[in-house]
Parts: sequence; C-alpha cells; structure tokens
Amino acid sequence: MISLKMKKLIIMTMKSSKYIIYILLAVIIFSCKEEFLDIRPIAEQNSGTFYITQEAGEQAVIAAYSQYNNVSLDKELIMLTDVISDHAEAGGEYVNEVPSYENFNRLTWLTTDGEIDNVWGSLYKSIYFANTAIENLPDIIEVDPEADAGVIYRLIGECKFLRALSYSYLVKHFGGVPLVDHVLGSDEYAMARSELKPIYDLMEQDLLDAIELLPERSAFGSENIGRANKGAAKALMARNLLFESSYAKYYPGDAMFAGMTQRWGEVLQYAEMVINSNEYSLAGENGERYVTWRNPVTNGYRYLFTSNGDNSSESIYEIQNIIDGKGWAAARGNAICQYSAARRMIGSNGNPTDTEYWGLDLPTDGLVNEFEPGDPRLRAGIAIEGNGDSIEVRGGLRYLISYDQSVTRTYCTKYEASAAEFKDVPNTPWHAAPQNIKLIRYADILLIAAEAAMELGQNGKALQYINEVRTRARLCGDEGNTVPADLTGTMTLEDIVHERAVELYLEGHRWYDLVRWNLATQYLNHFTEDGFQVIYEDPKHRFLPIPQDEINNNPALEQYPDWQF
Amino acid sequence: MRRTISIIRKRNATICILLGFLFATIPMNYCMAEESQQNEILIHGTVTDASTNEPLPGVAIVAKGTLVGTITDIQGRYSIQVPSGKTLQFSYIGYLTEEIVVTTETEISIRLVPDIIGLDEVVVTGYGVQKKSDLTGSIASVSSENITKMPITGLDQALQGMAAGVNIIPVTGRPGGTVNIQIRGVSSINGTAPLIILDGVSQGNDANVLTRINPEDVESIEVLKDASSAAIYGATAGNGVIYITTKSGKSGTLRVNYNSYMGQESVIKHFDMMNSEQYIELVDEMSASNIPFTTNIDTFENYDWQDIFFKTAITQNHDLSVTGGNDKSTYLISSAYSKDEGIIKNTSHQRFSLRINSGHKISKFLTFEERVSYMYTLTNGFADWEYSGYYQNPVAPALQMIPFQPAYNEDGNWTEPYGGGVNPMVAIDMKDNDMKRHRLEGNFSIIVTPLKGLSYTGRFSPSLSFDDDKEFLDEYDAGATNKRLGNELVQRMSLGNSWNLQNIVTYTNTFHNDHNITVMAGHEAGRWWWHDISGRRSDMPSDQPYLLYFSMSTNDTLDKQVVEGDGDEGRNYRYFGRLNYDYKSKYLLTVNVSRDYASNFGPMNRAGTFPSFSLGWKFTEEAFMSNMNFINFGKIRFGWGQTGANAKGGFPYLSTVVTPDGYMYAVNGIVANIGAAPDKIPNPSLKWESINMTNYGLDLYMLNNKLSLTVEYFIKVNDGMIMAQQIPWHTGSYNMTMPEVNIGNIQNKGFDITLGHKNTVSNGLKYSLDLNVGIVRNKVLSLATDSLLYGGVHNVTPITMTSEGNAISEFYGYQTNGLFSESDPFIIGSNGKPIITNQPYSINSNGDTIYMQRNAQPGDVRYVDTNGDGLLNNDDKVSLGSPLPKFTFGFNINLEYKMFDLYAMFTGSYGNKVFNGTKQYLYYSQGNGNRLAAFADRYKDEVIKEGIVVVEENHDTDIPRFAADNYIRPSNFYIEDGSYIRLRSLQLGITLPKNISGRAGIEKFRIYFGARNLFTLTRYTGYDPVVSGGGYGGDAGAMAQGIDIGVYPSTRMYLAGINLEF
Repeated sequence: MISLKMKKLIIMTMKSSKYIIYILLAVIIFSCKEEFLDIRPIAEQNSGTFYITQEAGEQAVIAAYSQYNNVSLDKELIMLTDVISDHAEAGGEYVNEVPSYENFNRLTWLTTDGEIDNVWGSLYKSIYFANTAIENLPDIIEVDPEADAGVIYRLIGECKFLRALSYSYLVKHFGGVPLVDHVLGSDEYAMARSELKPIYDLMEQDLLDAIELLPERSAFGSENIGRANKGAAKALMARNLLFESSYAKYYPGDAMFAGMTQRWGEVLQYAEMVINSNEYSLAGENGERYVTWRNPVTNGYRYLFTSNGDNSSESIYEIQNIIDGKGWAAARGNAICQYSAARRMIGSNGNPTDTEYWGLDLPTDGLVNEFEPGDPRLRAGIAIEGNGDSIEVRGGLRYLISYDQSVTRTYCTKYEASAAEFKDVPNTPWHAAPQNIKLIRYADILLIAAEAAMELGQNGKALQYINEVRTRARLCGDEGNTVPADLTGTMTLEDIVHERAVELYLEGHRWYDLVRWNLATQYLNHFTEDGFQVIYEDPKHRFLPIPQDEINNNPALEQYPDWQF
Repeated sequence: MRRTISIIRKRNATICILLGFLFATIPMNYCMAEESQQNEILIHGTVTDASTNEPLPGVAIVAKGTLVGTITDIQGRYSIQVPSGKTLQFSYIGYLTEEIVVTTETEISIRLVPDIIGLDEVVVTGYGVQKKSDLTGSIASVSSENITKMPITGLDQALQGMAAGVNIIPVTGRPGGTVNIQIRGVSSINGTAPLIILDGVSQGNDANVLTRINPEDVESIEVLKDASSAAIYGATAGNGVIYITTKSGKSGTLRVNYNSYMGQESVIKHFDMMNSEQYIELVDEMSASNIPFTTNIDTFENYDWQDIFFKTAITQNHDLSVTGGNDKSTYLISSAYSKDEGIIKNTSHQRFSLRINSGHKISKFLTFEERVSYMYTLTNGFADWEYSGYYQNPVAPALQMIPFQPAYNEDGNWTEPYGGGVNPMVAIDMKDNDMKRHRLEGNFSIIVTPLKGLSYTGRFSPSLSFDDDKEFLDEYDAGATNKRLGNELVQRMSLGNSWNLQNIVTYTNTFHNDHNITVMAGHEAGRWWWHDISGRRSDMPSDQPYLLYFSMSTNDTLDKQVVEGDGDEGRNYRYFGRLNYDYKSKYLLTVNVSRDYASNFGPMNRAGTFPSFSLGWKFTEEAFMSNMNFINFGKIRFGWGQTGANAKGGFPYLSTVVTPDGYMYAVNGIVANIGAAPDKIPNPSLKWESINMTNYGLDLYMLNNKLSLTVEYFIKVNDGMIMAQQIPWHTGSYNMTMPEVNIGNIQNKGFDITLGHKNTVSNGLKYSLDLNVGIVRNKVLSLATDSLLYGGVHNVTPITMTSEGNAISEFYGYQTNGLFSESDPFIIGSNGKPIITNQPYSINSNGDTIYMQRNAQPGDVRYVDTNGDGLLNNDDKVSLGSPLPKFTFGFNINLEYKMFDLYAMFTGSYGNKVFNGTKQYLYYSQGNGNRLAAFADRYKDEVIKEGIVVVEENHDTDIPRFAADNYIRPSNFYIEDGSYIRLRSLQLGITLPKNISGRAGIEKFRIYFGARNLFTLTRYTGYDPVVSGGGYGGDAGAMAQGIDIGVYPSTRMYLAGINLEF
C-alpha cells in the first residue's frame, strides 16, 4: 500500500522528471576535463612550446655556443688564469688599477671578486642552454615531420661537447662543483659539490657521445667551421684524460682527486687519433708566410693570433668572434684585445700618450726569460721595451709602444687587432675584437701527445711530437734561424714544462698546468714587479673559491675550508 | 519551511538562486492543495509602515504551515485565500514580522514596526544566501540605501569606511583612477586586490570593476572577509571577496526614478610656496656670482601657479531607471551618465551605462533571468602611469614654477622658466588623449525547481570589452629645450572577450523538525582572451580631429610607422560544494570546499583544493540565558579556511624563449646565427599563494536590539607568497631574471569591531550611529633565502624594505638628529677647512681619525650612526616606521526627522606613516625650481653682494642648510604621521510630504545638499594623508605604500541634488 505522501511524491517526480534529466545532462556536459586547460601561451614563444621545429633546435644550440663570446667569460678564461700564474701581471695604469685583477695576480683574491662570478655563472649558463637543448632535441624528431634526424643527433653531439667543454673549465677553476646534467627543478636549487671523478665521468661520456655523433672537421664544411666536430671532441678527451692522469700521478692519495687514475695510454690514444686524422697541421710548419693585417709576410705563429688566422689548419676548437657593427648587446667579439693590448704609445708629438687599450696581462720577466734566446715565438706575442714594437690605433695609424706605465716594461701583443677591423668599425664596442680565441689548437695536442708518450716511456714518440712544435717555431724565424733546435736524448718533464710555457704562453694554460703537475708551489711563489711576495698555499690556491653569492644562495654548498670566513 | 519563508521575506530578492527558492513554493502549493479541505476565506487588506503610515509594497504574506503566499502591491494592498484558523505571517525586510490568526474577518490591515536591527536580513554567501543571524563566517554587508546616501561616482567610494577591516585607497585623485583595496591587511607583496563577483560571476581580481559599475544599479555589496566565507571561491579569494548584486525589477505598476546631482570640485590643499622675494633670496644663495639677482625686488610679480594650474571643476551625475512587471515578469531598465571634469585642464572622466535586468516565470518549474549591461567610460588627459613619477607627472613641476613668471607670454606663447626647466602648462595644454572603454556584459540564468527544496541554476555569462585609445602629439615650440618637431598619432585598440558557465544544484530540507540542512554543489568554467594592436604614424597634415587617422599620414618611411601588439588567454574551471547544517537554528555548521583548476600553472600544480569550515552557537537561545534580558541575541563563531591568491597572469611556470643579440653566434665565422634560449629558469612547481585564516567572532544585540556589537579576531597567514628567489647560478641563472617561487610567509592578525546603535525617538526622530574599526598587525614571517625586498616609486627608491620579523614594506632610511651648529667644536683639517668634531668617527688603516660627516658645516643635518661604526653608509639605514595603519575606522551618522534627513560619514586611520615625497621634491628640487614656503626658513648664512644683503642670516631654525646631502638622503625628515579623520561625506536632504508632491503625480520628491571631503584633521603636511603610493600597475603597490609623490591631489566637492520617483 503506497502512502498518500508517496503517491504525491511520485506524481511530482514524474511531472518534474524532465527537468531533473536536464540538470543531470547539464552537469555531465559541462564538467571539464583537464585538457580544457592545455592551451599554448599566445603572443610569445615559451619554454613549453618553442622546441618543436628543427630550426628551434638549431637556435637552442646556437645559444649554448654563444655564451663563450660573452664579455663575462672569454677574457676570464684566458686572462684571469694568466694573471694568476707567474707569467703575467695584472697591469693597468698603475698597480691596483683593477683591484680584483691585482688580487688574482697576488693570489689574494676574494670570494666576492666579480671575475669568479663570471667564470662560474657563465659556464653554468652555457651548461643550462646545452641541457635545455639536449632535453628538447630528441622530441623534435617526433614532432617536426620535416626534421632531419641526422642533423638533430649532430646538434645533440655539439651540445654534449659544449657541456663537456664548460665542465672542463669549471673543474680546472673550481675543482669539484655541483654536477648539473639536466635542467634543474625548483627542488634542486640546493645542490652540494660533486667529487671531481663523477664530473670527469660525465665529460667522458659526453665526449664519447660527441665523437660518435659529430662529423670530422672536413666533412662539416666551411659553413660550419665554428661548430664542435669529431676532432674537437677527441682533443678535449685527450686533454681531460691528461688532467686526470696528472692529478693521479702528482697527487697520489690526495682526497681532492680521489678516483683519478693514470690513463696515459688513453691520453696518447686520443691525441694520436687527432694527429692521425689528417685534419690538422701546424700553421707555418713548412716555413710558410701568411698575409695578415700586420704584415704580408707574417710567420705562422703570429698569424695564428690574428683574425686572418681564424679557423686555420691548426684550429681544433675556437670561440668564433666576429664584428658586425651591432653594438653593445651583440658583442660577438673578444674582450682580450681591449684588455691586454699596449696601453701607451709614443704619440705623434713624440710624447707618451694613451692608446685606448688597457694594457693588462703584462708578460713577466719569468716568462720572457723562459724563451731560448732567438726563439721567434717571443717577439710574436710579447713587446719588450727596446725592441721597437709598435701598435696600430684608430685610423690605421701605427706608433711605437711606450712602456712608461708598464711595471714589467712589456706588453702582451698576442691579441692585438687592427684598427680597420676593430676600432674603426662603427658601433663596435670595446669588448668586441674580431679574432677568434683558440681554446684548443693542434700544437697543444702535439704537446699533450708528447707528454703522454714520455709518461709511457715512448721517448721516440715524445721527441717526435715535441719537435714538430719546435720545428714550426724555428721556421717562424728569419732565414737560417736555428732556435729552437730539435730536442734529443731523453725527454723530461722539464722539457714539457718549458715547451708548454713558450708555445702556449698567455693562452690561459699555465696555472692549470702548474697545478696539475703539482709544481705551483715551486713556480708561483714569487715576487711581483712591484715587490709583492706572492705565496702559493697548497691546497688553498689550487682552485678558486666558490662565489660568495653562490654560497649564500645554495645552502647545500660548502666553501673550501681555506676560503671560509 | 521556515527557511523558505525567511527568504521570501527578503524584498530585495535579486539573487537568482533566491528566485529558485521563491519559485519552489509553487509546486508545494500545488501538492498541499489536496489537504485543504477546510473553508477558505479571501482576505484582503493594506500593509503600512507603523511610523509613517506609508504603504509598504512587496511585503510577503504567508499562511503559516502552508505554502500559500502573496506579496503586497505598490499601494501596499494584498489579497489571499487561506483556510480559516491559519495564521497569517507578514514579513518585510527591515520590519518586525507580524502574525495574525485568521478568524472570520475578511479585511486585515497591518502596520509593520520597523525592525531596527535586521537580523533577518539575508546576505549573499556566494552561490547562495543565508540569514544574517545564521552566519558563521565573516561577511560585511552594505545595502543600496547606504550606497546611495552619498554622492559617489564609483562603488569604491561607497565601500570606504562602511565595513570594518576594509580599506580602500585611491591611487591618485584622478577621476576614474584605479584604487587599491585591502581587506584585513596586506598579505602579499604581489598585491591585495580582492576577487570581485558581479551577480554571481567572477570579474577577476580587478578593483577597477568597482569604478565602472553604476552605483545606482547596485542592490547590495557583501564583503566576504574571512577564509571560511571566501573559500567557496577558492584559488582567487585569498584577498577576500567583494560580491555585488544589482537590482532586480519590482512587480507592480511602472515606477520611474530619477536622481541627479551637480557638484563643484576644487583641490583640497593649497601649498604655501615661496614668493618671489623668498625665491630670489634662494637664487642669490645658490649663485656663485657676486652680482645680486636684482636690486629692485619690488618690481617682481607674484604668480600663484596653483591657481594657474588647478581649476574648479564641475561634476554632474544623472540616473534614470524604470521598473515594473507582474507576477510573471519583472524588469528594470536603468541608465546613468556622469561627467567629472577634473581639476586639471584637459582631464576629465565620463561614464555612461545602460542596464536591463528582467526575470520571467516560464512555468511552474522554470524561471529565466537576464542581466545585460553596457558600460562606457571616456577618460581624457593623462593616463594613470603618467602620474607615477615626479617628472612626467604634471603636478609637481607646476608647484615648482618660478613665482615671478606667468604661464604665458603676452603673445600667448608659453614662458620659458627662468634658469631652464619645462613650463608644465605645455604638457597640459598639448594633452590630447582619449581613452575609451566599452564593455558589454550578459548574465543569463535558468532556475529549475523540480522538487521541494531542490533547485538548479544554470548561468551563462559572456562579456565583450573593447578599448580604443587615441593620442595626438602635436608639434609645438616652447623654447629651445622644449619643443616637438613633427606631430605623431598614437592609437591602440584592444579586444577582449570572456565567458563563464555555471551549474549549481541546491537542496534544502528539514529533518525531524530540528535538523536543517542545505547542500549546494556546483561546477563552473570560464575562459578569457584578449589581444591588442597599437601603432604610431607621423606627419599628420592637420590637427583637426576628423583628419586624425593613419591614412592621412604623409610620411611612409618605415621608421615613422610602428605597429605593435600583444595577447593573452586564460582558462579555468572549478568544482565546489557547501553544507549548511543547523540544529534548532542554534548550533550552526558550514563546510565549504572548492577544487580549482587554472591554465596558467604547470601540469603538476593546475589544481588546488581549498577547504573551510565554520561553527556558530547562538547562546541566547539556551535556557540559561533566558533571564539575561539586556541581551537580545548573542552568537559566537569560529571559522577556519584556506584560499589561494595572486596567481600570476600568463604562464609564470614557464619562461619566455628569447632571441637577443647576445644569444647569436657565428658558426661559419662570418655571419651570426640567431640563438634562442629561455630568459629565466622556469619554476614548474609555481602555484597559488596559500592563505590560511582563522576567525573568531562574537555578535551581540542588546537593549531591545538597539545596540549591536560584532567583534572578530582573525589570524591570516599567507604561506607561500610568490616572490623572486635569488637562486644559485649553477642552475644557469647568471645575469637572468630570477624565478618566482612560493616561499614568503606573511601574517596579519587583528580585530574587526562594528558597533551600531539605532533608535526611534517618540517625537519622530530616527537615528542610527555606526562605528567600525579595523585593527591589523602585519609581520613578515619568512622570505626566500637571504632576501630583503626593496620598494619605491620612481626616483624615491629604495625607500621601503621588507624583511623578516618586520611589517611588510616598512620605510627605510637614515635617522637624523637635528643640525650641526656654529657652536659645535671643530678643528682645521688638512685642506684648511673646519671639521666639526662632536660627531662619530672611525680610524683608518693609517691610524687617522676620520669624522663621519667630515664636510659638515653648521646648518647641515646630523645623521645618526645607528650601527656605531663611525661611517655613514647604507648600513646605517633603519626602519622609519610602517605605512600600514594601526587601525582604520569609519563612523556613520543617520538622522531622520519628519521631512529632513541628515547623513554624515567620517573615515580615518591611525598610526600609519607617510613618506612625504612632495616635501623632498619641493625642498630640494633639481635646478632652479621654486620651493615650499617653509624652506625660506632654512638655515642661512648672510650673503652680501655688491654691498647689498641678499641673504639674511638665519641660524635659529631646524630646517637644514641648502645642500644636497641634507635633502637627497631618504631620512626621517620626510616621514610624517599619516593619521587622519576626514568628514568624507555630509548630506542634508529634504523630502516633500507626499500630500504635496503627490499633487504633481510625484511619488517622492527629495532635494539634498552635500559636501565631500569637507574637512580633514591631520598633521600630515602633504596633499593628502590617504596615499597609496606607487601601485599604478597594481602589483608594485604593496611595496610602495604610503609614498606620496604629489600626484593628482584629492578634491573637495560641494553639491546639490534631487531624487524623483514617479
């Protein structure tokens, strides 16, 4: 028996049931799926949407390259390490004109000196851009039907090389650093130092990938001359293995270099892969002369450091610098010319006057005296009072250098540029000289091979490689020059130390080399030209401290004990 | 059942959901019909106001225990068929409910006594309504009567001082300018903008909505202050919710309302500037020349530039509305026009609006409602941002104009200010800028009530907005350094649209007589989108407005034509629900939950859940309280809830990919390729700020309901404020914008106190007094690692600092300690100049004593070495007080006596500091500008030039010597007390008795006279202590509060108006 109330309810429900259905229908229709929210940001390219074409992938890789010709990085990679070493003084109009540079010269740098920030920050920025590209490139093959998988993989190879290159400089400057091998999320901002070994392992894997993915220099063609190639990856591999082996040999049992092993055989193997690839040769190794802005009969060694010598046969990897009159922000030039070229000249009125250049990175007596008398490489890159060196300034005018403001009575001339290609080009900022910075050149690889062969007891090979370098140097001299003569007998570490000093001087190698040979105490304890007693403390000065801001912003990061306040 | 009736009782039942309830009575009526076997009697009568004897239209009459009901018509008449023996209940908002038992009489006329408290008022709670007495959250309600009591051009003005804890600060005095709204303090550096809901539809966190709605269209405004109320709006409600309900049509014969006022506005404050004589003395003091500026000072005129610059402005406002309808349909058509001329030439603001609201009963189960409005504003003159700095802002340069120079030469050209600078009249005279805003909004609802207690509302709300800006920059020549060669036309157009769709189901029932339950569940989705295009062209052939179109440009060179554009889109949807439960209407519980989804956050943080609950206990319903006669009603409340705030626009979890020159690289060694990379490290886990609030409340009605008191205590914590974090560079962030993270933690604690007293004195005098006070204490609990946040305005920056343990955005600068004097001991330094020695010093590495202000002379400011290191530098800057008031208050007086009514409203704040940037600017102007007259009393040494004393000695003063270091350092010299009391509104109205006006067919005839900002009591010496600082873009405001840079000053207005009702 249905109650009256129930009947009423049923009648009522029947009458209104269509509305109930409408309600249910409305709720079902209008309930949302989360896909409703999947919209692309409009009116802007975004990190979530940009990487969908091959062109985007190419541009992402270009950005990773670009950080190397950033004013914050290029000069520091070369000059900062020069100044730390015994081969250069900070320089400037007077001692302490650039206090932070003087700090590096005296090994009294502060954790707040901006140059440390520049090296750390710029290298990690390049790593970030490389990581961004590495993470996004594989998807492009999927989403862009036009994409050429071969090109994409090659681009990945380039990024792997760049990442390894950046880490190679990070570890040489700072030792163990946070190991970042992907784009970090916000929960990874606090990150401790890695040991050195895992970073070397990452670089090794990256370089193995790069060797696999990249073409040889010749296969790349001139339109891609500035890109990382197979030879560059092998060369960097050889150089990294050299550092690993040296640390293992010269710091046995040192916790800082735990896990490093002597792998001289592999050093030689990779260096010889480069040497035997027939892709590279020393410029002027047969006594050739080159037409450059300096002189139509420029010798091979000097030619290397002019813009005319960019991407020469000796070039394995260099930072591509150009001048395109695009003003400050572009700055695709090197800052080293402005920083290092001679500050003073004997002007048209016969009095010393400024040149527009700043004259930092002054070669020391120690460096000058390292050369065998008559070695043509000395005058190719160092101006010494009394030698009659000149400098070109605006308008293409050339004047004798004045040494009245140089404490060493020398200037570095390795990185000079001509007025016509630099100062006289409209809109060219001071930090944009045209010539490339040679980060890896063939002579370095020959010396690495020589060192490895020596360590392996293969004296013949060692002499062969070092003498290739010395021969080219000799042939850079005037006709009949006999210095430097070929080495004979048993090659020693002293020979390597000497040859690397005179061949690779003021190219940023010296401090790294002295540290890896554990010879820094011997060489870096010296007096500066103004009489400051430089004291190298081990291990304090093996590496730079971590930037103070980084310590402040990264609670997981610990400063080296010697640099803690 | 009781619940339903209480809702019917609400005359201003404009909320669509309400209509659903109302409609629900019809099927119930139907189903009860079978039961009515008794004799039915047709009863009729009139309902009038007991105090005025005027008929009351719209009174709800219900036969108790049935669903039979009706309402009175416009003459207060009703008729209803009821069974005898039933009780008729007459209820009307604002009146005490009357009950009469039906016997055999067929005519029952009732006089309703005004209920001076209004506990039965219904307030909007968001997707629903609740009786005020049943509220467990914190909701302040402002009714239309209060809104229209004062002459306002925007709703923002209506809210200030009306609700405890709601603080509204105009950014400038510019008509139609933006406002900053703070509800219960400042919880974030990212702004305090509350969510605005208009007729149930979100307008976003955009306070400007308030300035474009016609205040006359508004039935009520509710402010949802605590999280337990606001959490139903979830992710966007963290700064509170302002819920605006527009009026609905009223059934009955057609009624016409016309309201109008005219007012005269002028600047409140006149600065005393130096006169020509004082100015020339300064010139002589500044000048290194040995020749006096003049030997005949009497020949110099004195011009008051403020009189040249400011004008008296006329404001007018007209509203016309028509309403009517029958039991099936009601409608309201309303239009309004207002024009505010602005006290600066070539500035004005006009608003036009048209609204059509109607409701239609389609069937017993179905009601349809629509609200369509069109709003248009036209602002002439300077845009808000142009008031954002000292230099582009036209006001400050006018103040410092040379007192002996007129604005124009005899030939009508602008004068060139003596000593350089810019004649500010140039910018004003040349200003030709129109900013038009069109907005069309629709709001269409279907309400279905299929079952008793069950209702469904479906609502679709589209909107279309169109901006049209046109500025003509004509060429002019006002001297060598101030000219524009060639003209330029700049135009911008922006188109936006949005839609919002809602489905809400509500079910109400009573179980076992005592358990009342309302359950609401709903779903909402929306999308907004805009794009704009702007361009500029040069060389227009004429300045005639009809030729100012791009097609007329005679210059086709590429660099003379620029086109730009932008766009953005956002989508969101949400599910929400609420349970209201009460036992015997004595123990109350509300639970809200909302789950929100938004497109602008990363996939892992697109959704957020925002819960809340609140409890209430009406302790006066308990037996043990029955003897406490002086307390008529008492309730205690507790609530807790979580809401979200300040979701950034765009896609803040991503980073823009940019292609700057710096990312180019030449892979062929010759030509650079484009490189593309992110411009910052994105933070994919960025999400809403999370605001948690706990609220304790006590409501008391005492002394026969004549006295009401509400006290609330709240603790509001923003846990996860969005701020840029200095992240380590190993992420790749070197030289990049730092990413935003949810790290900061800001707490506001305080009290909201509302005290009201209403009474009707026997001789016909009615009055009410309302005081509301909001007390807030602000504290920053934590910030991102190692960060201090600095804020400021234009070149007054940094002037605030936000740091852990202090209030947000405290002023920050040097402490001063009087002046150095000529009696201070000194030694002669190595340069032969005296060095005052009774001051802090340090010892340098050579062992020398270095005095802190070694160049100080008598008359210079003594700065305080707060850290005691003997050096004067940034480390000596300390907190100089907070721009946040200790409390704000509003006080309202309403008086009615016979035909007269009087309304007065005071607002004020206490304990806030203001940085008087105008003073800084006008004491130490750059160049030759004029100064405040007070500066004439600065410390001076005598200067004699060619035997004439051109500067008289003045050592007996506390105004420092004229020297940059005394004036440019941010210091307590410029920090002033911003406490004030202001009579914001005063109005006296006279209503003609109906027997007189009725002869002309006029239902109501009222004229009124009033004033706005009649007086302000304050010690502040700048334009206006009500300063919100630099929040021109909205977001920057929270860290630039209380910085007065002397922009468009606020005005005083006298007005007269008329209300007519036919």
